[in-house]
Amino acid sequence: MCGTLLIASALQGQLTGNNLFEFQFGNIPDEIPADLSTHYDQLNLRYRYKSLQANLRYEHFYSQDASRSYNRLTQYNIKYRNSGLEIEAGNFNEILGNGLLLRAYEIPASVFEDQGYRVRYGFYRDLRGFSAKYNWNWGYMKALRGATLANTLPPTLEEQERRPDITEALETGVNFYGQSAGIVLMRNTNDQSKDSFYALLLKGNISALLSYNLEFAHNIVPGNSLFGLDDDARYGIYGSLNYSYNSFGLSAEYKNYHDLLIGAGISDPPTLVKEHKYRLLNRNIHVPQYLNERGTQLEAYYSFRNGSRLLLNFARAVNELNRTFVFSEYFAEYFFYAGSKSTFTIFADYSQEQIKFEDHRYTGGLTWEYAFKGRNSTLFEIEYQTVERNITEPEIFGNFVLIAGYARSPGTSVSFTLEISSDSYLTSGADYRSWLGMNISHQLTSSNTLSLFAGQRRGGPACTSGICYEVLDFQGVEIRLKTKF
Amino acid sequence: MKLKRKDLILLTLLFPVILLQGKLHAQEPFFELQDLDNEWTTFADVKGEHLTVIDFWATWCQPCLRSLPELNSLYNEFKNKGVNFVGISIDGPRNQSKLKPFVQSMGIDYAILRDVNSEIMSEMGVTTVPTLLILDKEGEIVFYHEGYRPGDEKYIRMNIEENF
Repeated sequence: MCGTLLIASALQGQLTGNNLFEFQFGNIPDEIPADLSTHYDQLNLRYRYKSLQANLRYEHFYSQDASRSYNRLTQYNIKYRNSGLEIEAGNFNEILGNGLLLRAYEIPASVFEDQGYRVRYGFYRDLRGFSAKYNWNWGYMKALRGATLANTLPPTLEEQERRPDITEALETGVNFYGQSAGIVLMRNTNDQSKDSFYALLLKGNISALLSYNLEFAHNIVPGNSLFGLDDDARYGIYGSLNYSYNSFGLSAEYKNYHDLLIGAGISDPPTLVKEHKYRLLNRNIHVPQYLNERGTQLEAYYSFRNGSRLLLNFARAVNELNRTFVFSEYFAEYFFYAGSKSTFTIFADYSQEQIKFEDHRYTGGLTWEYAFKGRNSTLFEIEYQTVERNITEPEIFGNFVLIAGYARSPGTSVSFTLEISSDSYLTSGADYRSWLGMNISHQLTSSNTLSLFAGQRRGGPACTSGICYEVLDFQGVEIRLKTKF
Repeated sequence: MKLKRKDLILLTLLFPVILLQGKLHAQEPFFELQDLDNEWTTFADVKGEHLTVIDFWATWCQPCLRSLPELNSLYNEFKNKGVNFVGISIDGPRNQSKLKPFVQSMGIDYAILRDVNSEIMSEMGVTTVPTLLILDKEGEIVFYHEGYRPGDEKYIRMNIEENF
């Protein structure tokens, strides 16, 4: 590998990269030892010469528990891209159609740790194998074969154990009069099963104002119907209509997923649930059950002449599992300017989530950003939530978030976050529990950004880049350095 | 693949070489992404005569949404001066349906491309959104800025004018 790098450095290409270093001193509250020290490093190197690219990723994690530490070259890849043709070998990401059957992805600069293994590593679910794609004026084609990463398994395990699924797929389509029609054939094999699927794709513009996207995916079992929607069938139906006229925009979506959990979880169908940026709502984002879920989502936007914006969202999902569970959500958000220095955003949300036994959930909040003296700004954010839950008996509890921060353009910010909850599952018998933390971020140079966290951070579900996962509670100090070169 | 200690030492020694090479041999980005009408668009199609401003963003990112009107104003100010803007959305399948109506309702005038798997984001070494890059006519990155805070638009304008 080092010989390759030396040769690469002598060629007339471009060698770039980035590095993420994260040091933590602390632990999950009440866990021993409280002063656990770990560090994680991720180095990405990219070499490009004309149409050829080579990429490497090295990850390193050190923990005082040696069984959790590792050094590993976790990704390597060579890619050729030219005039619509792209060929890759090694680790790569790909999506088939809208993701109903397969999506390999990454959340850049995101570090994952789960409570079981307590090992930190980059958050991605890639394929290792090869792929080839070709786009031309009236069509496209892609073919791939690879072993999908089960990203809940850490790099301390053998690679074969982390990649239980082998996926082979072909997708092709044609473009005509502003429309695109395609077909996907996919086979996924692991120790337990060999599953075959196909999908039909259709998308395009009905007019300059209206567009649509449709996908129908179904498993292939000899002797069984290719289109049946009975209980034994595995299928996914997705459709969307999008409309915009001047300052008004509307998105309407429908989903119907039945037994669409493939392999160790290689697909990522559209969820039809709003990905919230507000802390309390982000923690409560509905997680789809791909075993059985159907639903709809409507979202509308309007931009006013004075620059203010209104957003309305409605989502509903029904799961027929051992019984019927219903999720529904109504969300409204209004952003506006108050003078030349202030902006406000207010939001309100009402939802029900029966699968979590939450009969009613009311959330509201306000964000105020104030700019002064050209490059300075302050941020205040308040969120409050009341939840009526009935697991064994009815109970009502609340969650509260207060964020206060200061930023100086272009690259400095400091903020304090206070969270309080009276959720009996978190308070351990007390009336409430609180978390107070401080975040500081400073761009040292155009290539280096240093971030510091100190205090307590509340864990729980979190969603970023469309992917939802569990974040652990943390109490201590965390230093993060991002470098680009 | 597990690394040996000597590999780690050599990798550390190669760092200065890597840093130097990155500076000497810049190549312009080479990507092909679909726009909001699903038409394939290359970097050459959106490249500005003098400068190209690339903004990586997402509909779920609050600072991104704050910056979009400011970037749109900058685009309209500089578009006839050989500076072109392009927004690359890293929205995944969850938000793809919303992207076009959202962008059009906001009246964004510059090209928006879809990077559904964040592939181009990774290739260009971008790790967070929003991130704004300014490329010169050779394709070299002359300005790189992460995040958005009120006042950043002045800083971006200053860097466009300096590199013009």
